[in-house]
Formats: sequence, structure tokens, C-alpha cells
Amino acid sequence: MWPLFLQNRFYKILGAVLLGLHLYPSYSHAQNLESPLEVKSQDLKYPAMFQTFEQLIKIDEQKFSKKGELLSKNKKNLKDLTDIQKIDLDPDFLNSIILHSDPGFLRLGSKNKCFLYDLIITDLVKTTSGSIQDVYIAYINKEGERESALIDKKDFLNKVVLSDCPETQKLINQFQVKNLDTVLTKTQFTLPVSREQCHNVLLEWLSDSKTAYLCQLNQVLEDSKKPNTIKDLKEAAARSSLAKILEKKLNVSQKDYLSLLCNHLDDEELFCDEFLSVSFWSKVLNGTKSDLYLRPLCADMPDNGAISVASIKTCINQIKRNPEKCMFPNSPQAGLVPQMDCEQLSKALNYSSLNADYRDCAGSSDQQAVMNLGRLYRHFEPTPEVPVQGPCSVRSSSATYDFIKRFETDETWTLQTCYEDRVNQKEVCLKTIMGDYPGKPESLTNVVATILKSTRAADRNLTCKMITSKTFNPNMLEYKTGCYISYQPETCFSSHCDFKVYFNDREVTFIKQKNKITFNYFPLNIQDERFSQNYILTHDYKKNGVSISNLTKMREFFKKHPKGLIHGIACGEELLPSYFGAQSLNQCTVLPLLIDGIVEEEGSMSLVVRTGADSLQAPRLIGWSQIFSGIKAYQNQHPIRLWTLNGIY
Amino acid sequence: MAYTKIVLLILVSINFAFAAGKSLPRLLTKQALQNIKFIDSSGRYTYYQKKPGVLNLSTNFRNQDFVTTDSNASFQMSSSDNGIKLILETIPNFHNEPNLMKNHQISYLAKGNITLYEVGIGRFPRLHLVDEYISWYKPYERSIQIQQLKTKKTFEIKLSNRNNPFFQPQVVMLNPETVVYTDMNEQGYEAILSLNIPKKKTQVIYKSPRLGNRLELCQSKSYLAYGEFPYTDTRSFSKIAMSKNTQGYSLNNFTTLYESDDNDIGRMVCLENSIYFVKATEHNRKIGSKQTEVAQINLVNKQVVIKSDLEQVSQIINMDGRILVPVRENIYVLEGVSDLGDDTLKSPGIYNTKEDLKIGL
Repeated sequence: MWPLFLQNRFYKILGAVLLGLHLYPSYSHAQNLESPLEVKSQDLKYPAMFQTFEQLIKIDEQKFSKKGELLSKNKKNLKDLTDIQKIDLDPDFLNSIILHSDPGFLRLGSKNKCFLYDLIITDLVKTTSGSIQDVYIAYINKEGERESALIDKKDFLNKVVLSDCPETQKLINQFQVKNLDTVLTKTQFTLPVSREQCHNVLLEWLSDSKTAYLCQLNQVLEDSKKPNTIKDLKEAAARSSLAKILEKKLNVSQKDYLSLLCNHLDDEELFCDEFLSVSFWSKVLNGTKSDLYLRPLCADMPDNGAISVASIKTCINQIKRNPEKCMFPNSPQAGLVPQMDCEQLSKALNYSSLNADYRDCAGSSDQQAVMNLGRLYRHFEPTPEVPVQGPCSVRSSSATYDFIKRFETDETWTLQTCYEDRVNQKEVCLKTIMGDYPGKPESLTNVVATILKSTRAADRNLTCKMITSKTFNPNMLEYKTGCYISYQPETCFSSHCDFKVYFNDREVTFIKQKNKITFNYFPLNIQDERFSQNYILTHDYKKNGVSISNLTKMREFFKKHPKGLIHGIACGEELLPSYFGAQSLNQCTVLPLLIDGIVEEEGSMSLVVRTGADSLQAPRLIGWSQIFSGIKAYQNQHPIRLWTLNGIY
Repeated sequence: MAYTKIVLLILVSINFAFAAGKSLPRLLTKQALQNIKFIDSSGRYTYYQKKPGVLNLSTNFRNQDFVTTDSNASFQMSSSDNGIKLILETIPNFHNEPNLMKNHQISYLAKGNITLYEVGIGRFPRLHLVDEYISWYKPYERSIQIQQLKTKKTFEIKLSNRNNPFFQPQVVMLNPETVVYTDMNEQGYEAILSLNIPKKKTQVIYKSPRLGNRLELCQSKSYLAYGEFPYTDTRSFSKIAMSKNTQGYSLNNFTTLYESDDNDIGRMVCLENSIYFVKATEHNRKIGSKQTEVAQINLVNKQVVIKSDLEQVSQIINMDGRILVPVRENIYVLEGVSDLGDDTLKSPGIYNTKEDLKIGL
């Protein structure tokens, strides 16, 4: 007990006093009524608020042990207690809990009586004797007198808790080992990305009846790491074997999350700091964030496949020593470089809420609106990363195409692959997504295969593969039969790609591509408004949209909708003037962007921004002033002077 | 050298303290500012986008649509210091194909004229050597094109940059045989290179020792200058250096004019006696927010003076000798006449166009 108390003596005094006030309404009758067993000694009265905490503890110990001695002589089973009313916790017992338990759990227990009972059942609160084996109760006997009694914890559960708190039985069942997988799957371990959201997340945990039981899991795991915490050998062995099971049931991120939550239930700042101030890279290490963020930063990290914890640690050490490593990722297809250095990138990622657990290679895209829209769509409808061939921007192209097809505006997708139909003497063109995305008939590979089936009587099961020109070698046997699309990664983008088609060892030259991917992101005139993607997002896709014209609206938006996104179009010359220079008056490099977080520090504020040219895993911190100027500059160029920055949720 | 740098930095900071708070006049024009693509130094000729896909030349009492193309197209116009010719970039699918690699249709025309001469497709065109040469960049090929306008003879320079598909090289020509340009190596370091076209020999003039710094080139009749500025707000080193043109350039001998630990944006404009650039005046490095102003280096006394109090300067544009600072919906004038809303008829200009256009209206 003492070490726990010594950890934070002052705080504990405060906690105990405050908690006393919190609990007061629930237990007021217990505190006011004097128990027959109350020791009537002046010395053992609790001192005033300004007495030292040591004195409080000392008095509690004396009172508690005296009461314990008296009650244990007459330990009761609830069967013995008939015709009793208003069973509650004994006030001395309650006081001892307050003085000897973790303030975080006390805060959780202050919610209501059932929460406190749950904490007793889960062994998370303690008295001066340590873990609670027997419970001191107070009740009114048939004569109408107040009495106290000592009962077994099991009896307390069956006779008091289950009758007063019917949900407890369900919770106990849910947290049986056999049901743990289900409850853990159903539990949302929300990772907050802003202070406001973090505040709400902690409040939700404090109002969640499962929290005590989840913290019990954490306690078992933590106790197993400290030797000799449990004196009873039998119980120690049982808990040790339970810890082993839990080690397997909970993944690393769940374990870390619970440790953080259960140790900081009473301290919002510490709880939130762990999410928002701790290096993002540590989150990758503990598994709460995808390793996709690290893979392009360290040379020895593979693009795909599993990577060991040791490799992740080495990589993190490298980027900590050399923050410049994040500026130029290994892949030239990452996007606009340099990215921010590792320290700023970590900060931006901590505040970013966009679903970015897949790669879409902005550097292999020559249509930034497609990237933006694809990212937006995948944020609201996440799909896991699947292996692709060709430019990996096909992931966002494919998502964008799905979106416009879903709302029947795919006639706006103008990129086509064409051939001359000699029978009908006409040119036939098929809509195309550059690359190979599994299950997409519009993938270039499938389109080329379709054309070969129509023109070269190819087998109906023919499939084509996209292979880099470096790998493709027509002299090798494996490339002698079948269909291969050879391309150079450096010159293959989402809208324009230099490729050659080989079918059964011969180059096919009659397949040509036409047009680029063009569509109206925002309406250019009133008549065509309903064909613009922004209109479809808000009207057909039924997302709520709100115009963001100032910083107050932006703040308000993220406060109300932490998972919402702000999207828009700006001029690069104002948004990122170091990257985009102007030679001409009213020059504007049209640059779609997504904003998904706010960072505020020392009175300054920046926004977490990804332009359509930026790597999905590398957002930038940009001031509102720059964003406003960028949007304003684009507004000046827009045919109907539209303000193109909207929040969507 | 270190001592010189310290003295220079001290001088710079003293100068800033005394020079802040300059109010700049706004550019006043007859046409809506956001539609204007080019106004010559006298204000006689205004090229403006009448509507998407339509470019118009306006003089006093006359105007003529002289480019009518796809309704999704937009235009950009620029000139060199010599102001003889203008470059016109026609940008297809301006709004509905945001593409950092998109090729623009590049053509040129004589200032005050409407006859267009097509050059090629690409981005970032610039006129060189008394407007006899033009250069532009082809992003998909990652190559710089140099063309002599008279003969149409074109020379190609392939960049070694494989790191950044959206890289924007800088190009200047010192003489018909020497091209100076910027490139980026595999690690991300930028360098200034000089190419002797007949000998096809490349020489590195300056390689930035700092990762994530951008190099800019800027030229006046009497000197060549380069600037080194950080791309991102976490880097913090800026430098401007120049080499005088005294019977040819000495590319191995650049004098440092300015060095700073600030995250300046740069975007230099080089004039005969001064260099303008965008300087960071306040900066929160932790989260990358900053204030920026126009600064001027006086090449005579080497003093650096803040010339604006706009707080959010991103670009400086030299439009036929008029130095402009666009900030949101306004354009401020650093040098040149700012009020072009005057309707007084002017005498015929040097191009002998008699105040009217060659086409009948």
C-alpha cells in the first residue's frame, strides 16, 4: 500500500477529498448514520481536511483494523442476514478504499454504485489490508438499527451486486476467457487525433461499464510482470496462467491502449499526451499504427511482407538520429518531395485522422483530383490494401472510378483504350483505369485482354500482366506465351503511361490510348453542378457538406466531427510557394487538397494537409493563412468565383 | 568567411528593424484584376482572359479576341527583361485536370501583337538572350528543351532527377553556347550545372550542401545570381550569391550577398541594381507557420531592406519591368506605375501600332 500512496501523495489527498464529495450523494446515509460498531474514540475521528495525509492514513488503519477485528469475530453469510434493508458499503470500508486505491479507478467508481462494485469485483480497488477478500457492509436490521457486517466477496457479489446491478452479470459473462475474443473485437479502442476528441474519448471510457473489466485484464498483465505481487501461491499461479492466456488474446496495440487508459483514467492531460505528443513512430512500434508509414523511410525495409520488431526499432533509431531521412523516401513514386522531416511528420501524423493505411503512390499519379477523391472515398469506406500491378496510384484511381460509377457519372471518365474494329469498321474504345486492380474489368490488363479476345481470337481465359520493362525480357521462355504489358515505372502514371503490349511473343501495336482523366471536382457553372464530384458527395453519396471559409468554422468543424474531412482546391503558388513559383500574373497550379487535423502550439496553429501530390503517409503542416490564400487565388480563377473548401462528414 | 557571415547577418537584422512597415500601392486597372494575364510597362496593352478559352488583347478603345480555344483552357503570359516578345501558355483542361505534369501549349508573340508562333508543349517556358532563345521543360520526359526561335533548332538536356516527378528546373542562358540549369540528384540534393552545348560538357557550378534546399537562378544584364532556399519549414538556411558579367561570367566565382537562418521563400527577381526576394520575418518552426515579406538587396550598398508589410507574401512577379506582389485578391506594385485606370490616350508606342491593332474591328 505504501509505495502506491507514496507515488503521488498530494494528489491522493486531493483525489480522496474530491472523491469523497463525488460519492457523497450515493452514500450519504451511510456516512451520516453511526454504526453500532463505530469505535467511539476521539483519537480515531478523522481529522480536518488540512491535517496531513499521513494522519488520515494512520487513523484509517486503526479504525479499519479495529472494525475488522470486531466484525471478523462475527463473520456473516448473507443467509444469516434476513429481513435486512438498505445494504451498502460500510463507511469505514469505503473511506479505506478511497485512501488506498488508485485515483483513476476511484474516478471511474465515482460514476455510480455499480461502477464501484465492479471495481471491487475486479480487484482494482484496495483497502488498507490490500486486495479485498471480504466486504464490510452496512445495513438496517429488522429493528430499524444501523449495523455493519463482514461478508465474503462472493456473497457480496451474489446477494448485493447482482441484485442492485443487473448488468454486472452480463459483464462477468462477457469477460470469461472463452468470450474474450468477442468482447475485444466489439470494443472500440478509439485513437484520438485532437484534444477535443481525446477529452470525449476519455469521458466515454469513464462512462463505460466495461472499463473496469478491461482494466482488470491490464492489471493481470501488469502484475505478471512484477514478481511476488500476490502472496497466495495458489492465486499467484492462477493469475500467472491467466496472464499467459491474455498475452495471446490481446494484441500489442490493445495492451498498450489499456495500459495507457487504466493508468491515466484520472489524468486527461497525460492520457492525451500519450496519443498526441508521443512520437508517431512509437505507435508504429507498438502496432497501433501501420508500418506502411515507416517502410519508405528506411533503406532496408521491404516494400511488402512482414517486418520484424527489431527492424522497426532499428529504423526508428535511424530516423530519430537523422530526421532528414523522412524528407526523401526510398520510393520515387512517393509524391511531392521533400516531405517534412521526421519530427514534423510525426507531429502531423499524430493529429491526422485520414484513413491512410494503404499506399497510393502520389508520385505515379498525373491527376491529383483523382488522388484526392480516391482518398476521400476510401476514408469513408475503408478497404484493405490489395496487391496491384502497374502504377500503384491505381488504388486511388480505382476508388475514384468506383465512386463515379456508383453514382452513374462514369461517362465523365474519359481515359480510354481503343482499337480498330475491322468487321464493323469503327473505332472501339473501352474505359480504362491505368494499372491492374484486382476485380476491376476497367483495369488496363483486363481491357487489353478483352481487346485481344475480340481481335486476336485469344483464349477467353486470357489475362494480361503488367511488368516493368526492366523485368520483362521477351527472350525468356516465361514471356513467350501469354499477354504482357511492359511499362517503365518512371513514365507510367494514372492518366498517361508509356507501355508496350506483347501477346504470344509479338508486340501488339494497334492498341492506343485516348484522352486523359478529366472531371469537374467542383462545378464550373450552375447548369452542370449536379455532375460535379462535390455535388455527388453531398447529394448522392449523402454526406453532409459545409463550406469552410474561416478558421473558426474550421475549428468548429473538427470539434464536432473529428472523423470528418475538409477537401478543396487551391493554387499551389500560394499554398506551397516554396514548391510552386509564379512567372505570370494570376498564375495558378491547380492543387486539390485534404485537411484532416489541427495542431495548436504556443498560440500558433497549423493544419494537417495532404495535397493530391503528397504521399498519403506524409501530410504537411500548413498555416491557415497560406491555405486561405491558396483557396482565394483559385477562387479568383474560377468561372463562377466559387469558394472551394468544404468540410464533409 | 565565418566572420563576414556574422557581420552580414547583423547588418541584415539591423536593416530589417529600420525598414519594416512599408505600404505598397495597389495595382489599379480597367479590367478585373483576376482576368489579366499581362500588361506592358506603359499600360498600353492588356492581355486578359475574357472567359475560359478566350484570350483578348485590349488597347485604348479597341480590343480583340485573338485566341479562342477549348472552353476548359486557361492562359498564362510572361515576358523577359528585354520585353520584346511574350510567351503564351495555353493550359488545357485547366479546372478539370489538375495535373502537375500536364503539358501546356507554348507559343510566343511580339509584345502588343496577336500573331502567335507555336513552340512546343511543356511547362515553365522562359525567354533568353534578348528573346532569341526559349527554354521549356517536359515533365514526362524530364528534359529541358532549348530552342533558337529563328531557326527552330532545338537542343535537349535530360535531367538526372529520378527522385521527384514534380521537380521544376530553373534555366538561364549565358550565351548561345552555355546553359545554366538546376537538377536534383538521387539523394535529393540540388545542384546548379552549366552545359556547354557544342562540347556537350556539363560542369557543376554549385551543389547545395543541405538536403531539402531549393536552388533558384536569376539573371540581369550584368550578373547571374543564384538563391538557395528551403523547401520545407523545418530547414532553415537561405543564401543569395552573384557572379558579375564582366566580359563573360566567372562561374567559379560567386560572391555571397545574403545569408540567413530564416526559412525564406525566395522567388527572386533580379534587376540591374537590386534583387527582390520573399523573406520570412516571423516563424514558428515547430508547426511551420510563418509571416513573409518582400525584401530587397541593394546591390550598390549591399543592404537588405524589407519593402512590404503584407504578412503573407508568396510570390514576386516581374511583368515587363513592373514588379508586382500578388496577395489574395490584391496586387501590390513594388516598382512601376500602379494606377493603370487612366483613360487618357497615349501616343503611339515603339511598336508603331498606332494605338490600334492590326486587325480590323
